[in-house]
Amino acid sequence: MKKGELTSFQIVSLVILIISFLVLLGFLFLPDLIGQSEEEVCRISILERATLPKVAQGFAPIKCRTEKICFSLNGEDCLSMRGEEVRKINLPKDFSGAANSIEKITAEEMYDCWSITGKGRLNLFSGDKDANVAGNIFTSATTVREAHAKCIICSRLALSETVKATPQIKNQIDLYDYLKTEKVPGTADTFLETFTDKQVQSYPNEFLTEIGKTGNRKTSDGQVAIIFSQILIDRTEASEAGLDTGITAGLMVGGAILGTTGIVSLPTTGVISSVVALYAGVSAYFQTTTNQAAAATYCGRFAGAQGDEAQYGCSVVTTVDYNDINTINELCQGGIEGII
Amino acid sequence: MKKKGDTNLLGSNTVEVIIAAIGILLIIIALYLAYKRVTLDIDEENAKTLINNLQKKIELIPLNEKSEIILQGFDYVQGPWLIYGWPESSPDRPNKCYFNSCLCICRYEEKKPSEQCQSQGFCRKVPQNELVVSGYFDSNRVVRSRSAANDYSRIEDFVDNGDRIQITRNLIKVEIIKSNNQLRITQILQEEKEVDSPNNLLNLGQTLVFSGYRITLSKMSDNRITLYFPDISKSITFEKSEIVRIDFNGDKKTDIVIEPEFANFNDKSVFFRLKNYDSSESPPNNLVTENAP
Repeated sequence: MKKGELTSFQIVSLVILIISFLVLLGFLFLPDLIGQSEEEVCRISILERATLPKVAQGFAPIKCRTEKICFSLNGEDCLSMRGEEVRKINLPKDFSGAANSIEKITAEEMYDCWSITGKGRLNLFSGDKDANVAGNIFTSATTVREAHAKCIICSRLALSETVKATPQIKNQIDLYDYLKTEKVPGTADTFLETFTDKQVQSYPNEFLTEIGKTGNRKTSDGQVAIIFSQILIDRTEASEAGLDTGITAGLMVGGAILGTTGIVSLPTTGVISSVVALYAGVSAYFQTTTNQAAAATYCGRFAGAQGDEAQYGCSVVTTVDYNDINTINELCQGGIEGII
Repeated sequence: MKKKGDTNLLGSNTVEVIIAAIGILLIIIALYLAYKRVTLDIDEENAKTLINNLQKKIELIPLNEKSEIILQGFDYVQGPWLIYGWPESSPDRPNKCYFNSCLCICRYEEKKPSEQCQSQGFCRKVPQNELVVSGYFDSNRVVRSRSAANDYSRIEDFVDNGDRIQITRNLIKVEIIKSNNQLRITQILQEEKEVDSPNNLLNLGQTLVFSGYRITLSKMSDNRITLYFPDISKSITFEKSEIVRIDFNGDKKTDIVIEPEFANFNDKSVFFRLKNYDSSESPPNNLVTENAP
């Protein structure tokens, strides 16, 4: 062998090195090159976030884009979404069909948001990224340091002016009935069964009374946001509330949760009660003759990265009046993650 | 004298050292790309979407109309981000906008906003000659320098005359007023408090609403106070010992008299006595203005 000539071992090492580098780059940029769907990008980013150790979570941004959906009758725009990239849903001309279409999209968007975020069971917001990112000289005093809920706005739904001015459509919307009777696409379970861990098939009278209470009725003039919100609860407080031994999951209206064992009684004091109070007061839906606001809720232990200590908290997916920014900012005091 | 094997060892190791160096370099490049991808990209994408949405919404507002819009802020990885505006006449505006008024969103850095926006921000040309961007300082979201947590002078940099809007991590509401020559973007305070009592404590950056008009305490330095009036996008600076009378719409009927009380309360807040002007009263000696500022 001549002096300075590369040995076969060296050539192989070099080739392996270059291939490894290309594979690494591929993992980083392939999703962009092959045009991965936004839903897949979102799902993967959430799984990345949830499975990373707490200290590294800040480096894995949530890449879920807020979908903007406009319900219209004749292809007209939704004024409140002017200038944004919008998915327009042309409603059928018959009022009943139009109402059904709004119920369907709302239920599916709620389910997608609930499903993509791990049905509230994934620990998504425990990493304090401000402390981890070198060179970040600013921090907001109230955002991540204290236990404040953080959010993802999964989608925004708006009505066009024509739909808003058609009470025959709005008055036929019955979201609760839709959740009870219709099946989640591709499954054998209704939305209600899915949100209550397959245990509840209809609403008990006590829950219907809760739905009927005027105090639980918040409405939006024309735009609602479907928001995923999660708050961490200190381990001691979680233990006192019984979250380390059991979970509370179900559909929430007002302060009542319709869970796997019927109406779940919640502590009236302590941190859980304040968390429920925070979530209970925010749900709102389009202005209709009856209350349509509901929230899919989970309180319990979160699944997180191996090695991290157990984390407890509550998650909720609910519809909120998008114009009520005080309520949204209160609900999402820790910040809103995702892509605008 | 060379020992046996020296030449071979050097020759063989040189190639391996080069391969190792290439390997380390590639790993550093990959890590840098990964870091850039997960941190900066999402901030910049959000910032770009935000300014694009704002621009499109502004374009769709009819002339001489007022419109309120909600901007979705974002949980920035590196920030904060700010919206700035420079009118056509400003010699300081970023070159990106050539001869037009300039609306930009830029990450905060410790350098001149126009330079920061020129190098790293996203700017959009605005056809109106006059562009006014006015934000407010939200006292509940204190922005502090990590290197000097108690350096409140930095807070005052932000307060200034409200000529920027800080992007928060949640939602922001702004009011847009658009005419042929002027575009005014004013942040609407979420935590405005409507007051009817004459005596009010106003903290630095806070806004209160009196007789339907908003008053923001935007700056305090030495014995001087700067009040900002978002409804008319004007500021006025006066001594703590002076009284200001503001005529908001020129009709002399909705004047508000602002009289600082307990001037030495502290350097971050001041008591004001607010009252509607009574034309039968003779003007006080220390009145500094009778006109709209």
